[in-house]
Amino acid sequence: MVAEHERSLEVVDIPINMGPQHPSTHGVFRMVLMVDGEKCVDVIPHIGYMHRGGEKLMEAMDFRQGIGYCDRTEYLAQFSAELAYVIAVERLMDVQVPERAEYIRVILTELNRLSSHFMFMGAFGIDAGVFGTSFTYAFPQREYLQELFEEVSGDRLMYAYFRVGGLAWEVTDNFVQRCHEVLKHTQQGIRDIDELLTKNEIFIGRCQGIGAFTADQAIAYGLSGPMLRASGVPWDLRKDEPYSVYDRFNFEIPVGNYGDVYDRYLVRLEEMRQSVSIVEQALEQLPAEGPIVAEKLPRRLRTPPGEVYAKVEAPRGEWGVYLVSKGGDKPYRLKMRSPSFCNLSALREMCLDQFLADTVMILGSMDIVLCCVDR
Amino acid sequence: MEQVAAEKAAPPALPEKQVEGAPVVAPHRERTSVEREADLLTPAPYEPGTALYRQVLPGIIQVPVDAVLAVSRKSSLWPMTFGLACCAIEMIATFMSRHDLDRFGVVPWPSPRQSDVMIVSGTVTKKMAPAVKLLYEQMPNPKWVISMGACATNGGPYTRYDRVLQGVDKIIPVDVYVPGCPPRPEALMDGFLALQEKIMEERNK
Amino acid sequence: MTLPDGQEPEAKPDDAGQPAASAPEPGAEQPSEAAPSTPEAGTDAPKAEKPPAAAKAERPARPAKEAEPKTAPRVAPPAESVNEAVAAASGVTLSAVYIVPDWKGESVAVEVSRDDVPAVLAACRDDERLDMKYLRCLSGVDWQEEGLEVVYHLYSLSKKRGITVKTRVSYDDANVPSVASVYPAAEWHEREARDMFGINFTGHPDPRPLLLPDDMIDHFPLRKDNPLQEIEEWQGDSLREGAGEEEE
Repeated sequence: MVAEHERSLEVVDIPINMGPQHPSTHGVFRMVLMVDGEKCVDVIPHIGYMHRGGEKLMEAMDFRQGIGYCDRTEYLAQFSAELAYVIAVERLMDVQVPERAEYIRVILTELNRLSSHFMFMGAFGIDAGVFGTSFTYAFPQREYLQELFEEVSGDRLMYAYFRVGGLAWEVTDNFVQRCHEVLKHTQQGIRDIDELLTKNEIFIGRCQGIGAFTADQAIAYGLSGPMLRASGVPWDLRKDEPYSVYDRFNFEIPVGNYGDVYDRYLVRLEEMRQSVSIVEQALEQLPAEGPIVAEKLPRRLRTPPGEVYAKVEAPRGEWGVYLVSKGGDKPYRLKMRSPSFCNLSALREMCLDQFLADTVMILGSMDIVLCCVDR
Repeated sequence: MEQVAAEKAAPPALPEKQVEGAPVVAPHRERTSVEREADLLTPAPYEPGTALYRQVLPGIIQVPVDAVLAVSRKSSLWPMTFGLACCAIEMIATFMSRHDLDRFGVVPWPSPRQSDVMIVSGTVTKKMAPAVKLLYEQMPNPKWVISMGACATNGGPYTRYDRVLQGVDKIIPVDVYVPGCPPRPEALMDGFLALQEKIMEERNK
Repeated sequence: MTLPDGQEPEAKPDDAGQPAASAPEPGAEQPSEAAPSTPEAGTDAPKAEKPPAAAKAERPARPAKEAEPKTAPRVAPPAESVNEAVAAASGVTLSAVYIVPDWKGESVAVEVSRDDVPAVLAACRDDERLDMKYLRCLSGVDWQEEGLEVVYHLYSLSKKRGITVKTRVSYDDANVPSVASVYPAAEWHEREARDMFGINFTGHPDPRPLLLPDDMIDHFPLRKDNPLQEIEEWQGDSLREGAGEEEE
């Protein structure tokens, strides 16, 4: 017998707004979650709060000025973004980059991958509830790397060091020795994070089984990078479509089994170890002398008319640059295919029927950079 | 200040002319219990220099209260972490162990209701502007704003795009501008020290 | 690789400041860059004297016929390339087939008419020989007189080859059938292309604006007739009403 007052009750889903400003460091991202009790029934992501017109502005910049905008679009994996842009222009102009420049590019890009993954470890720990410890483990490691980058390029965060045809200027004299020092610190940092998080019972409880995504779903949604590899697809652009000099190194691709949040964390952790190994190999193979810029580059870079789609393996996934040129010194259309944008489009699918607290973990595991999403 | 204190100490004067036969109306009548309770709940208006201790112990405790307030405010600025874009990474790096901001009393605080300073770090787009204004209004007084980076100052490298707000000072008043793209952590610390100087200078206003 | 002067007509109406800066410079640089032998070096010398005032006109004079073309010459792919498999699988006539540079070597680009796009993409995804389940990128391009173009980059992870599918629509009739049902990845890309270019994707499950604020969705930023602001054009004090009332 239902009581009188209970007959008029109805159950509604509560919309919860995780507004553009929230305490995780992912940037200005807004999610409206329709919640039935604790389970998410619907997720409506709202992006565009950081849409600054990077693509439009790069159409007004020539091929040297545009490198600064690449940095600012992907501000944690700057060298990957610069590398994609520069490779696209070089492919159109048919420029041959000298060996030494290629090796230095690879070293810097892999060190940048390390610093980006350290940032992920820090921020992801915060999402899991570590409340600051993971940041204080991760950021000193980033500081060592940023010091090295500052010695080489002059800036702590926006390097703008790659140029079409090579590098802007020669690296410092003690570059190899400095890299070895930094790698020692980095290896210790990876061990620290590993001991803090990987076998931690609370962390495992928060991460395992959350947001599982099958390989077919991952491919259909256009995921890339650690998100795709954690779902079991052994696809890494450095191995499968090698660019620059990546085909000369011996490294492995970590692939996950279940595609859940814990697998993504493990894939990134193992990628950091592999990056250390790539940098060590590259430092051994680095030619001691050689030019760092392609010869006979015109002072004013002009590409012949045409189009190209250049892609690199950024820490977040496949960073693609679709460059259409009408034969000027500026791109006619530059589309940056950012991995965070494509990974984020799968958020709704991943978060359905998950608990409210787990949606934060899923969002954290995607490792998005909002400037990259919104460009 | 002594003069004001002397005036306050003298009792109020009775009315000069009294109508014959009318009861003497004394300005001070007995207060009802409700009025006594209201007196307890209503704070007395504060005028600088008229505190009770000055009358009781003149010349012994001469601490300017506004200086104490200013020192306490500047030594414990709690910024609301409002990391928008790339400058947020350098802001976090400033809070971390290498360039520690905690030694200045600066504790990053996620909620606007309990923070003093808003560090606008990153480009403010027109889509985000209402949220920035709302967050500013949610902060209780006294509050300050540090505009960190070129984008928050005047739009920065993205100023030519029409969806970008050319500087956050178009919607909220800014106290300190920290230039750079992104500013070094030392520059942000310098910005905080400048804000502390500003708080000390403006303590009477 | 020298280029004719005034080759940026698409930039000229936007940026009054730019032509003055860029027009004399290519003119000044032509003599120094004429050192690598180019067939157009002779024709460029008289153009170096072109006054900057002419560059400020609405549409500067088109370069002479002997100058380089604006689009790359279209080279047909070798036989038995992927385009034939696509044509066979989808049963669609491809309007144009040519090669474009790729990470190593070349890949094939095909142009189809816009109504055939879902069929072609579905065929690419489902056919055994093609197996292109990965939509890499979906972008729009604004070719001014020639209309708007939508470019799909498809890729097969198992066969390691890709194809670029393009379709072109005119400004007045900018409707392209949506492929969100074929590739879920295309959902957000199409929303973004709609925001940026105004291409209407018919049949899209969720056609809300993605990147733009709700009150600015009809002014498509990436079209060439929406230029960037000049630095001198500040937004003015229209937003200042609230700022002055606040007290510190």
